[in-house]
Amino acid sequence: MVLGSFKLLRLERRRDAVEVLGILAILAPTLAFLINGGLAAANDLASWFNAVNRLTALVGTSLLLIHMILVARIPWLEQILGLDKLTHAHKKLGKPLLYLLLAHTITALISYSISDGVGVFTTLFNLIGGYTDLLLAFIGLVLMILVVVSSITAARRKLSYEAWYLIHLLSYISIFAAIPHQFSLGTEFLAEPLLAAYFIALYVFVGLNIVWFRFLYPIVRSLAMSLKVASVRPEANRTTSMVIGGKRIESLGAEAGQFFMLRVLTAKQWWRPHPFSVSASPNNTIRFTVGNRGDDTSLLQDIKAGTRVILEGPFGVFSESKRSKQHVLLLAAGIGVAPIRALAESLAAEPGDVTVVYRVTDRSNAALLDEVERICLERSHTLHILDGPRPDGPGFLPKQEASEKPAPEYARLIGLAPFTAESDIYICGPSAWSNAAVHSLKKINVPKASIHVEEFAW
Amino acid sequence: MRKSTLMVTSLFAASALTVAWNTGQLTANNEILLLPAESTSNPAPTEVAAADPNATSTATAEPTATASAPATSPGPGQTAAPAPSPTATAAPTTPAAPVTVTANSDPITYKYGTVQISMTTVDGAITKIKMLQGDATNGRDSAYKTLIDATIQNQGTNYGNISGATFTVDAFKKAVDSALLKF
Repeated sequence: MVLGSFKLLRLERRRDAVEVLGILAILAPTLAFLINGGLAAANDLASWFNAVNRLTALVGTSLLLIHMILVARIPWLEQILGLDKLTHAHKKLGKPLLYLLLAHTITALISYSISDGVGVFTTLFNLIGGYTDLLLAFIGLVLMILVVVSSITAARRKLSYEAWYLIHLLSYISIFAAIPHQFSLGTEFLAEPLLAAYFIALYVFVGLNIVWFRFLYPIVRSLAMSLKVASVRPEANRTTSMVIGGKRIESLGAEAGQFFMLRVLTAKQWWRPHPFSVSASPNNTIRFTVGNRGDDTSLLQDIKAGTRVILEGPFGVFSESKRSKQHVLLLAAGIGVAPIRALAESLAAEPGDVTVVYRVTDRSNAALLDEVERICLERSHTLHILDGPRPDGPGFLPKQEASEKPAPEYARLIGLAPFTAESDIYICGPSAWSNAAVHSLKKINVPKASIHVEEFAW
Repeated sequence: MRKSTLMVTSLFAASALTVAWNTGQLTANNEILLLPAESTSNPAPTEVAAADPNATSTATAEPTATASAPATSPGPGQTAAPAPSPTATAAPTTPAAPVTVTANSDPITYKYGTVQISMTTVDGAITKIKMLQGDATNGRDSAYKTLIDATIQNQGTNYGNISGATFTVDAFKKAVDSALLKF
């Protein structure tokens, strides 16, 4: 177990390196465009529009490839940034990407319409009527608009997951439809074989990674290990523990606090994976503790032992590999206790190094409470179980009693865990609760790199 | 990202972009300089002059006409080397008749193909351009009709670009300039 400021620096450097790589991926084609005189050649309105058209096409393509690599579930990338951050970045990139591609289309149309002296719509019909590749690209654009619109928050609330998922699959078709025109008509690619080769290499790299890591690898591995549900046991507060077994399952190498995408191979659920944290991994099995939160998780409550499953992962940077300090504060709320419990059990610690704060609504009905209590007793962790109603405003601690002296939450947190500022802090709970906790931690100047949050709102 | 990394990256990106921009300006300028007679191509040739002694002219122009075909020396603006194979074929007409001369350009090879034209002038004015070679990939050759019309209308190559066919336009302009040098 390595700790210390050098480890923190190494972790930060790795994260920065990945982000810089992304910036370079966008910078490189821009530089090629400028070096080739892409902007210098612009001397009238039409050629200015054309220059913007070509630049947005290049940057848009790079961004699209980054957008795809973010959800390719490549292990090395995932181990550095974490699946939730990757997914979050993918979500955030969606709209800017569409705007870039729209800008590319519109500036191209305006540029051609100026130099041909006809209207924009005439140009559009001429182009998509005259070139099959452009017709395909146009269809791709329409599909991409559909995908982005279906993914904005307002639409996500109205759409069922199934509908959203099916629409999202269209993005693969959209990307493939847009490829031909880039190579058959793209001035940059035709004029610069080197640039074309670079982009072909990127496409192949991203494509292979997606096909392998998203689709083939989990299936092949799960079948080879013949992963099955070994047992199912109901726990307190409408939660269920599900134990998965299989040949050499320990070679999956899951650390405490990480999670898997679990795909239960039943007729109803095979196509819909769910993320579940590892709540314990004793003796060549993996245990998940699943809350009954409606939809599929309720179906999981009565899954039969022996059902085949596909596990994708392990994912997540919510583990000891990202710890750099001796003191650790574990904050859990609700079913967020699952990875916290696993961390509490396995973190390297001397007595008193680890403080566990478990926020529950009702002490008599809290998931895994007895296990957490037992672990903390055995390993001499400090344990605070906080029950009681929510505060009136945003907050992560229970509402203060009228008799108590009013204090801000960060002050109350330091009262509970005096080493908070010098700790690595692991937070798992509903996102509003987690945000409130992070907010308080920032007030006491905990460095960002020491705060580890696991989002489980997907 | 840490602040220091962000600063270093931004600095690097900014300087790289600046260098690339300047390089782009330079290459663009060089391309313009490389174009033969770009600045002198605008005025259409006013004299019919066969620069090459091999030129076979059948012009039967009036003796007083300055365009008495094979004898005259190259025009003042035409300092370029004599072309290898101009075939001036002025049509025999009535005394006041216009002098028609046709010349072929050099074949101009560029990124997407080869352009060679045959240009016909009547009394020095460009009236007809025929594509001798005009193969270009991916439909770029569709630009030639527009370019021919533009050249005849402007009596030279002083017209803009066709977006998406920049290189083809450049090559065509070079071919026109090369043909003009042969009159």
